Amino acid sequence: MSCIWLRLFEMTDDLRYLNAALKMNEMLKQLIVIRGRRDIDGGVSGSYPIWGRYQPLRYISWGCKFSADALLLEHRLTRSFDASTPGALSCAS
Amino acid sequence: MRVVILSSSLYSETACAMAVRMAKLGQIPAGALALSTLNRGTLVRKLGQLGVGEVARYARAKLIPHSGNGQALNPSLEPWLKLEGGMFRSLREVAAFYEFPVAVCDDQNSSDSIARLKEWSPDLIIFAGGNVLRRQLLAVPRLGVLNVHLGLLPEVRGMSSPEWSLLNRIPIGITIHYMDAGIDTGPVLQKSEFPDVAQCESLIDLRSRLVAFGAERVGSVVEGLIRGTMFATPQSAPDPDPDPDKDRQFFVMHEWLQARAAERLVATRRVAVAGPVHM
Repeated sequence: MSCIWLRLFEMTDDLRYLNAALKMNEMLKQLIVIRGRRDIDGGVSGSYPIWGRYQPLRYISWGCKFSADALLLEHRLTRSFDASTPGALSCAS
Repeated sequence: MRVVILSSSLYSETACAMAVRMAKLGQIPAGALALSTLNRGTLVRKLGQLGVGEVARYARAKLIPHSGNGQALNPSLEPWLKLEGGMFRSLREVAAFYEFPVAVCDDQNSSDSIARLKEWSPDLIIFAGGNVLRRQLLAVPRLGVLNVHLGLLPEVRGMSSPEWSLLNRIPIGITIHYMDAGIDTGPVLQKSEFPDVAQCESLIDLRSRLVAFGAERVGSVVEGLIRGTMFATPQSAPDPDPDPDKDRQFFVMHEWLQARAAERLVATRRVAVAGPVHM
């Protein structure tokens, strides 16, 4: 969903899509395992909570793939947003 | 005119200011209905909005007399909240001063709350925070429920309106409108652009000033309603193919975008201070 919203933001410049994606990525980052057992570190479960209906009790490889895609796309689009509004940025410094 | 105030908490400065504003107009509220301050939902919402430190400061300022240096959390509301020798800190204090009843509830839409509102038989309800209002409550007052929206309608509906206005380069202002079952879709009584954007130092300052601006404007709207010179106009006729750029609902803004909105506010301030650049 996050990737779709970010692509929609890229196509339409409607900041509401970026807003939704930022919030979703924020939640996603909190769900990625970073202090678990070594074999699940960095894993993304199929559902949250992990016993949910989609891929219950599993960490799924495509979860990591789409998470990485979404975070990279967010990074690229937020950087280009900042670059396209230099006037606002210079005032922050 | 019988006016009732709805508030998100007994300690809402906005609700206190609205009640004082009405009383100074000669329209002492027929009552005020506030959500319980120790309601779990209210506490969770405030913690989410303000953070633990700010909630603790808020609680100390409100619950411990004279701990807040006699200052309001929103300094722009002080003209309404100042009292000889002190400051109104809660709706109960305003109610005791102007002698009107205050009730506390866990849900403004509950049958008990609606029965209480009907007892007060209001002509007008002023919404100064609380639950999403259901049709049953909206039908109680003779004229309707007034809301002060911190954005110009119909361009900016929903949450974080000043911030979205800044990012989308829409003029900043307030809209006073009757509430209906939609989100900020009710008939508009008054739209006012806010003239002092360039004087605002932060988004919090902007919001605080807009709330005070709204409280001031509500007074003029109620005066107009009493005189019969103020009329509501629907935001737009039902349109099977609405323009998505003219009628948009916004949601709570993410911190990253809020920071960009704050930068834009600072840029506005700089332009106003430095004046136009001549090349």
